[in-house]
Amino acid sequence: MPEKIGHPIDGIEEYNNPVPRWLMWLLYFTMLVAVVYWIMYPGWWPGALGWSSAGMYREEVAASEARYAAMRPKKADINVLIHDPGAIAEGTKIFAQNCTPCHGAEARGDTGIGPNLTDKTWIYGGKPEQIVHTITNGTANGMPTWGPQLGEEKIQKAAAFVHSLGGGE
Amino acid sequence: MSEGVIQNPSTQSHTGGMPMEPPPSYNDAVVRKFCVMAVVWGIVGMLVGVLAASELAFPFMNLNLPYLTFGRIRPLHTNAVIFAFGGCVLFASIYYSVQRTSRVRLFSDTIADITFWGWQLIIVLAALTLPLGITAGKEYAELEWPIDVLIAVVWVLLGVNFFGTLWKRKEKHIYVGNWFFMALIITITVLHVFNSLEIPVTLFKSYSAYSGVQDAMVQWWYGHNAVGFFLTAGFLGIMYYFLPKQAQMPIYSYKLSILHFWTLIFLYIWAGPHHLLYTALPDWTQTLGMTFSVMLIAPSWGGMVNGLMTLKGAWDKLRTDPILKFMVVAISFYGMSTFEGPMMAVRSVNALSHYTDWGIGHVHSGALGWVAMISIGALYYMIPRVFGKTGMHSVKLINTHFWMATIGVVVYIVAMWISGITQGLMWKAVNPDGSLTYTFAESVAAMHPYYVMRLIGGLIYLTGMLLMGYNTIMTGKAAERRPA
Ligand code: HEM
Ligand code: HEM
Repeated sequence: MPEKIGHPIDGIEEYNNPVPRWLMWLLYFTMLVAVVYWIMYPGWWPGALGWSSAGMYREEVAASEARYAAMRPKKADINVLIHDPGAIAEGTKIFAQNCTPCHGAEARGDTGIGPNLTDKTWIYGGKPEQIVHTITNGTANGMPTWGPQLGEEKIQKAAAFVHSLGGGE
Repeated sequence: MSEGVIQNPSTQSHTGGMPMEPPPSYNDAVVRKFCVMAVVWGIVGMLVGVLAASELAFPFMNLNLPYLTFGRIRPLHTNAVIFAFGGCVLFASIYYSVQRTSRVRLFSDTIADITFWGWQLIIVLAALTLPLGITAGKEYAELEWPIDVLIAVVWVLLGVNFFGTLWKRKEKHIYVGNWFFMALIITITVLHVFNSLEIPVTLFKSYSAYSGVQDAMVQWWYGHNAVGFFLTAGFLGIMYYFLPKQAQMPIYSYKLSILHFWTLIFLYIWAGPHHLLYTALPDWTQTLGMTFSVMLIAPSWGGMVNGLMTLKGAWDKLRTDPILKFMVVAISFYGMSTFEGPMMAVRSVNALSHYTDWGIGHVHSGALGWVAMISIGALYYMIPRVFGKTGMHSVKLINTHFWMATIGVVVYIVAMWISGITQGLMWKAVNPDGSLTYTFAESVAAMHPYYVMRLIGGLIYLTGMLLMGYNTIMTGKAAERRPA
């Protein structure tokens, strides 16, 4: 029987069993993991691997640029894209991901934030180039500047989709 | 009943070689009040949880009322289960066990009553302000500044009463359960005060004293240690008192309790940044949070090992004693969630798990599995005793409750694991041309079956709590008929 500590407190007794070996090894192992991690990653110093989260971001962006750049049509012309069903389909997705919160799921402006894009009324012009311009630069009335976020290609596809809604000139 | 003083005969038999003393009289009236309110707030908090779950599965469940929208109901749920339910359990257990492990009555009955009514006032104010949309906007610290001040006062009064009782104790040693309560009371005071530093502009609006990433860091230093000290240290204190009492077995290892206590409280404080991986927080701070989380496995498991090994040689009792079953399952969930947590704190795992339902699953394996189950065990131990009875009205109902709770939590967690990992993968999927495969709305739609499953799990768990409510009422009624 292992020894007991002191006298019972409110009837509760305590053995003084040793701490299980495997638990101590687990503690030492996780401490070792931590020390190795501190040597390899930014912590006390920049880390042996030279890794940083900003660097990781830059690398991933560069890698996907390298991978997908070739697939992109070189100099897309918005007046060509408005006849390209593939571009319009992609534009539909881009629109769903970015524009529906203000313009509504059907682009009818029923959220009350952004205007209806399916009718013939254009505040900033309904020509393909004008739609691209509005999306890229935003407007004083609250339409955000999408240029830096989406890039030229996605904006053109989104514009092709908006144009396809029937209101475009 | 009117005095609320119960002479506890069980304390006499354990004084061993001590000279005969008159048995101490304990303040069990305040414990009784906290126990009853713990059951009430447990039911209310989980009912609100079920409402929140139903809104995620069926959005019309918010009835188009601003007060019931998800954004207001969610903090109401978290505040109700953590601070109303969990808080009342902690107050009850602390007041119950500190008197018995010190062999003296509480330092002050008046302060005890002030803490009871103060805490209930805070809960009612929370239940009014949150649905009205009055919020400080920090998770788990949503309550506005006047309520923050009240919390600080009541919490410090709890500290005064607890330390005052320890001060006049008749036992030489401070029992291990009380170390955990000390850590809970001191740390939560510091966390609450510093995280709530804010500049009031009106009675109902304030702005945080910190800004930007510093605000986020203070928030998660608080948030993580609310988990570490409120939901962990406090409930480990409960385990250390109620488990050996219920099992009538000695604690497995005093050495282990010292070791895991100090490593746990030392390591927990640094782990907060694991909530802010891949954010504007500097990389070195994220590394700190991740590595200290990984090192937390063994100290956390120390508590689990000490709990489970205490039952070595008493496993047969598990077959007949549903209260012990609650405690054992609670300790097992504690072990599981404290392994899952450190894994989720690893940068590359967090890249998948963060923002997904995996987090929600982790939370509830800790909350429903560990916190609520150990609380229910402790409540079933205390309630008959503070009503002057030898047992609950129905042991069979406790057993039914046990199975409903276990099934409920498993259904809940499994649903969240599947939906969490599905979400994570859907968000990361890209087409050959590099565009996203799924829109966000598509991932929301894919979650529907799992949200229904979670709702069912929650309903089962809640039904178990209702059985507990009934059992408590019947136990109280029996006590009234034949006063102790
Ligand atoms: C019937 C039981 C319960 C149900 C149905 C339930 C349901 C929910 C739901 C639907 C959410 C929101 C999830 C989301 O935003 O996606 C939630 C969040 C939460 N619940 Fe529960 N809950 C229950 C019990 C509990 C208990 C007992 C506790 C604590 C002791 C708890 C602690 C929390 C916490 C801390 C969060 C926030 C999680 C986070 O921000 O990551 N819940 N719960
Ligand atoms: C060693 C133990 C633990 C570690 C290292 C740990 C780690 C973590 C990690 C990495 C997250 C996800 C953060 C994110 O991606 O946003 C998390 C979330 C959470 N954990 Fe744990 N966990 C542990 C134990 C527990 C236990 C026992 C409980 C409950 C009793 C718990 C409650 C929570 C809550 C409430 C959240 C959600 C916070 C929020 O975003 O609102 N954790 N934990």
